[in-house]
Amino acid sequence: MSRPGRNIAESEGADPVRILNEINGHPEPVVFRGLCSDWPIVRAAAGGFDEAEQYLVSHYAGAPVTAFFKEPGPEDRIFYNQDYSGLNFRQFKTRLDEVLAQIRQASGQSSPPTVYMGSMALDHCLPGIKTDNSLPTHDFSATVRIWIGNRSRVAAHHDVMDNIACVCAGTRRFMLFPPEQLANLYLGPLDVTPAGQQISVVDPDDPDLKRFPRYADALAHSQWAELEPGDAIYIPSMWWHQVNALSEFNILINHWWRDSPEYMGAPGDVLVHALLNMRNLPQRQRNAWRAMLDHYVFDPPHDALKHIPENSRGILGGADETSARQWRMLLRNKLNR
Amino acid sequence: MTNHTLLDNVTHKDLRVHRDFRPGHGYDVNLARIFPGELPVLQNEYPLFFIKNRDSGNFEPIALFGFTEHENLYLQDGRWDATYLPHTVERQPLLIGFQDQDLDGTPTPVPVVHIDLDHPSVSESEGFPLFLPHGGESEWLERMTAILKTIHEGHKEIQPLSQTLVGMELIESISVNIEFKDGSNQVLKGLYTIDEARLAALGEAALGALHAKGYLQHIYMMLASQPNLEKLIERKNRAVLAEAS
Repeated sequence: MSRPGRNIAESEGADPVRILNEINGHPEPVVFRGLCSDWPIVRAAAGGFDEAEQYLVSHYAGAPVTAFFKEPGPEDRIFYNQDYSGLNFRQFKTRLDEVLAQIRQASGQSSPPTVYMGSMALDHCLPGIKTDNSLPTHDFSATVRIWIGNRSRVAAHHDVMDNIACVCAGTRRFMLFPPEQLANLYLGPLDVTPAGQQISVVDPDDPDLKRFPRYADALAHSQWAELEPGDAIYIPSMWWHQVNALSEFNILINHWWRDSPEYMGAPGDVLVHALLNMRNLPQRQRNAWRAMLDHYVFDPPHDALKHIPENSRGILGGADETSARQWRMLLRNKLNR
Repeated sequence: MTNHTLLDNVTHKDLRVHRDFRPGHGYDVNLARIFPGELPVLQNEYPLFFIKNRDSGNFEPIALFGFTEHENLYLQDGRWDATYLPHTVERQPLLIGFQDQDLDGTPTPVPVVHIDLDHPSVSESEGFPLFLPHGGESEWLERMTAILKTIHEGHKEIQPLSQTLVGMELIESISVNIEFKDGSNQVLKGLYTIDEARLAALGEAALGALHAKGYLQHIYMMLASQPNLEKLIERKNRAVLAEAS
């Protein structure tokens, strides 16, 4: 199939030990072929489902996991329901060996359900395999997650953290859009989401450009890649990504990290706060706030605070450990009304 | 009847809870579970005992309010006649529920506040509001949430305490035959207390071990509450005489 956009840049011979440090801060996605092909989980999965299952189950101590189950239907994406008031799958607490048994059972069916265990912390789910099957995350605030499922399509969404995702089993197609393409992606509601962020309602494999004409622009800016077991992809923070797991059995291990101080909270909370307190202001007041936020937060002129003695700039100069404590408490109290 | 549901600030925005300590308002119970952290304030108010939980086998501390199932002798003229209420009474009609949430990629049962909508203290007209005008937590709800957290933490202390006391054979069953002034009598069953003779016979090492866990204080608080049984009998006698006259 012909695609607009371009292939994601590829990098040869990256060093898995240093890769997080080296890629940290890079503004564009990169694919690393064969970065993790010597991981035991990749080798086991190369021997087929049984071998992968045996590898996983032999290291599984019974920790509860959360899985998604979606009945087969015309909409094969992990998505909203018909009127976007809810979702088209159910989420339940189960066991890893149960998830694997369901994937095995589904593999024989002509129209199988989607079985998907997503984003489980490796430290929780399979702590024993982490050292051999993940990249060193050095001093970053990082989390390593495992994703196991059959064929699935997850609509385009963003993550706040930088990400290196390693395909361990199955073929996975990644389609990425730069953060500023959001208006062209036709994002769904924030109140109900599959995993906390809005998702694009356009089906990238069959886009309805009559209904979603701006999506053509998004496609023109898209970058995509198909990864085989052992390949890895760097997805910079905030890039929209549609991910299709194309095989009957897929495993992915990803690393999320952020290079910002622990005292900083979730930037997405600011969006909600702004929607709550600014969205419905009159336009001229919104303009004033836009100027204020640009000036102090988004694009501060280098001399914005020069006229204030350095020790008295306080929160305007950006939070630090101490001021974050003070302002967090103040905000919390103001929110409770 | 109970009707427990997750408390939320949209569905339940107008709810209030009143503290009308009259019969028929949800406080007609003759005992309440209590937790070790409460013993110092409760030992001066109520007779404290253990009851055996048939499911867990644990001996759980309780405060006794009356001698028959629904008798609460502390309810007087719309008041609860004591300075301190046990947390499990005060929390009503709220209770702890659990919700599975994925926290940092780990399924975690998170304690959340539930409400018993059928509790007689719940209405839209009387008492403390649960929520502030725009959905924040009222001061009352904040206090209750703190109490629910204390209860949640307190539950974890029961089993180790019970197992230690049982292991040292410090718990004994008691049977009290009480005669009231109207000539009626009542045998109290199913209550357990500290075996004072065994306690007195403990050696230094055993006492040191109890002290190190903070249990020695709990034990003496339970024992110090015993004169309150006489006072509770007095309450009953006043009630039966008032009824007779």
